[in-house]
Order: sequence, then structure tokens, then C-alpha cells
Amino acid sequence: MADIKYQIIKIPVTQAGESVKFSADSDKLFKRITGLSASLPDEKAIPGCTLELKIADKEIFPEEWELKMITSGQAVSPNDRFFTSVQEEAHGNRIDGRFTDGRVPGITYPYLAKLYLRLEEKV
Amino acid sequence: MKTPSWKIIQFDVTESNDIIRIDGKLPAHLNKCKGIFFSVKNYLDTRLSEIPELGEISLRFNSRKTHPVHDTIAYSKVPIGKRPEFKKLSQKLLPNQPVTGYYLDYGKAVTRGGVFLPYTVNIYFECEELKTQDDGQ
Repeated sequence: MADIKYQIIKIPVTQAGESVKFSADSDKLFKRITGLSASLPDEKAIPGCTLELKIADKEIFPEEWELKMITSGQAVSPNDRFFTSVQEEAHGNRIDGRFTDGRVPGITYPYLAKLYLRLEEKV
Repeated sequence: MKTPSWKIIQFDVTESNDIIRIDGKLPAHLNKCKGIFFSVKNYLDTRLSEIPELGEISLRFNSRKTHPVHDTIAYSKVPIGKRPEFKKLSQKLLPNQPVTGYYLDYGKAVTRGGVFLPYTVNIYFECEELKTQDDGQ
């Protein structure tokens, strides 16, 4: 039975419209990234937010990719929240990205955006 | 299972009932478009919470040889429920051939006071690169 791990990458956002670069290493004890998901503390902040993403220097999400493409509401079951079209090698591969806030009026700053990786197949 | 390649063509709508010409290209190494999704990128404080038909879009591929997409674009202020899904397509892509078309705004992106709200549309293309038998030689 394949082991599964959920890894979080936390991205601090301090002001409206901020563009934040981030990077992290996927867990080297797992072979594959089999899904991605994201959340913000206030779902009203999601419109207009974008997430560029590379895994091991390969472009996954291009510039202008909206965060809402990989987010779901609380009514969605946890397993269905993951964007499973992304199937990439983990093995400690570098994850690089840029998160840009959508400037929705009325949002409180600072906040932590979160990117979730689902990892499978323990080494 | 291989991760698809996603590309975005973006355009701005600045006036009510405007007709926007769409003219873009997808990278030459991509052979097939297997999904498409339309999204209004920014937050619009519209009078209506949900606008099922914000505008109409038409797209032709490969220098207008095929016309697989004629659709409407919706907008919702309601927070995200289920994650968006790509609409299925099965469109062969010829290298360096443009994707062209138009977008017609229906004039519904207005505030409670009737003022038009400019917006940006992202067209997402979910594509794949089919390897040929010559690859790796």
C-alpha cells in the first residue's frame, strides 16, 4: 500500500497586490507529487490571486494562472479538493513559485496563503 | 500519467458591449489542445451575484481552419465551491498557427448604480505534446 503525505508551503502576504516569491523542496522520502491544492484564510480574497509554479525547473502553472483553479470550498470533500492533473516527481525536487495577491477590497492583511502538495509512494 | 501543459491567452474588456479581437499563439511544440476554460480574473462588485452570460466567445484554431469553440462566459461573486474543471476539447494543433476569434461583452458587468466594470478574461488551454517515434534518436 502506497504511503501518502500532505506537505504545506506557507506564503506570507503583507499588503494588497503584493507579489511574493517562494521556494521549497518536496519531501525527499516520497517519489511523486500527485495533487495540488491551495487555500487562503479568507476565501473572499481568492479572486484575482495568481500562482506561477515550477517543479524541478519545469513550468507547471504559467504567469497569470489564477489561484482559484486549484481551490475549493469547504463543502467539497477533502480528497476532491486536490488538482490531480499535476503528476510530477517529488524526490526532494525544488518547488519555485510566485504568488500575487488579487487586491480584493476589504481583505485583512497580512495573511498566509497555503499551497498543499499530496505526495505518494514512500521511498 | 503526464502533467498537461497549460497556456493562457488574456484580454481586457474596457467598455460595455465591446467586441474584442482575440489573436494568440500556442507554443509550437504542443500538438493537441484537450481542454479549455474561461475565467474572469478580477473581482467585480456587480449588481448581480451571478451572471451566467457575461459575454460570448468564439475561437478558431490553426489559422481559422477549425472552429471548435463558441460559448458564453459566466461570472460569479459567490465564493468558490467546487474547483473549476476544463471543458473537454480534442483539437489538433499545427505548429505556429494562431488561435483567433472574438469576445462580445453583453454589458452585464455593472454596479448597483449601473456603471460598467472593466474586467480581464483568461482563456486557459490545456495542451499536450505528443512524442513522435523520432524522439530520443
